[in-house]
Amino acid sequence: MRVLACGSILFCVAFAIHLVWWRVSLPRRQPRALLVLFPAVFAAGLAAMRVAVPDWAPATAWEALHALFMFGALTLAYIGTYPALEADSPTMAMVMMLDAAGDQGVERSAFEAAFDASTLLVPRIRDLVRDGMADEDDGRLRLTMKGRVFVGILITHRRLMGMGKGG
Amino acid sequence: MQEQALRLVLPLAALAADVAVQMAWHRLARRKSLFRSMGAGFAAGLGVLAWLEAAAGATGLDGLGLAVADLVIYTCLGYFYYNFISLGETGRRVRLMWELHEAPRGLTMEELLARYPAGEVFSQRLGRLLRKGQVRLHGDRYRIANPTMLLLTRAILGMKRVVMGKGSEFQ
Repeated sequence: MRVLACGSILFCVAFAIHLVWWRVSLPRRQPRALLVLFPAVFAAGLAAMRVAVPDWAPATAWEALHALFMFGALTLAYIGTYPALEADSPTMAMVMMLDAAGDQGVERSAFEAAFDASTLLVPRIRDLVRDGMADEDDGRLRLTMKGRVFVGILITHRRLMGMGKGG
Repeated sequence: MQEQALRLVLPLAALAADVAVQMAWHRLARRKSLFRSMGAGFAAGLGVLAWLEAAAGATGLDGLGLAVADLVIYTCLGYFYYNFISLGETGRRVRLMWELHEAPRGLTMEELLARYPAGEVFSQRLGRLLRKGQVRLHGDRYRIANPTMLLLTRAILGMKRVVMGKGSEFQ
């Protein structure tokens, strides 16, 4: 039970600190801040548990590693969901616009005009530059090494499945 | 010690089975469906995990705790893999990066938007909503036809408000 208790309690603590931090001041690079915060909370929390509640803390190095696996898996699952919270999904924006219009619905031309590059794509291009995935030099956007590695993994995976570009 | 080290491998072995079955299913199935391949992969991984947990033979409350922890680890990793696939399928940032990847000399903003136009983003998503019966075109007006996507959208917006303190990135 120590692995289960340690992994889940420390994840809840990290999540609570993340909520408070985000409500006080949104970090500029949110995914990066999450990747710093969560491991730091695990390390500090594990040390604190050994002192404050030794019966609940992992008794051996293997148990601590198992608890780290559980904490890491919970963190990855949350970080995987995070893009849906950080950026507005076009599908969600469409559904909300139609919901707001009620039974009347939205005229075809007005619906199509509401979604253009300035809302659908330009903010995402800025995200790429902000997150260090691409840089802009002399008016041209290029992938950085980090961006090349990241998209390379996704491209390889999709090619292995026999799939082309998504989007 | 060897037994404890092996325990750590159980959810990873289950994830490996999930990924292998998902990819093979998607490649070999006549009717390509990402959703079905992901379901098949997850079920296969769950089966492998159950078999390995039974073989590990842990008993008592501690054994149950470890088995539940392994189930949580596998479910989270499987969910992360699902998000990874979705990112490649529908992520705008990934598609933009793919276009930049194919242009080593780089692209201007206009060239990038010409390769991946906003109209394509819009029509892909509207097409999915129409095909799945979530939205319908009645005369010249679009309307919500099924509340499933609406409920999901409201749930995500609720989470957004809790975490970010706002419902939209443009607020």
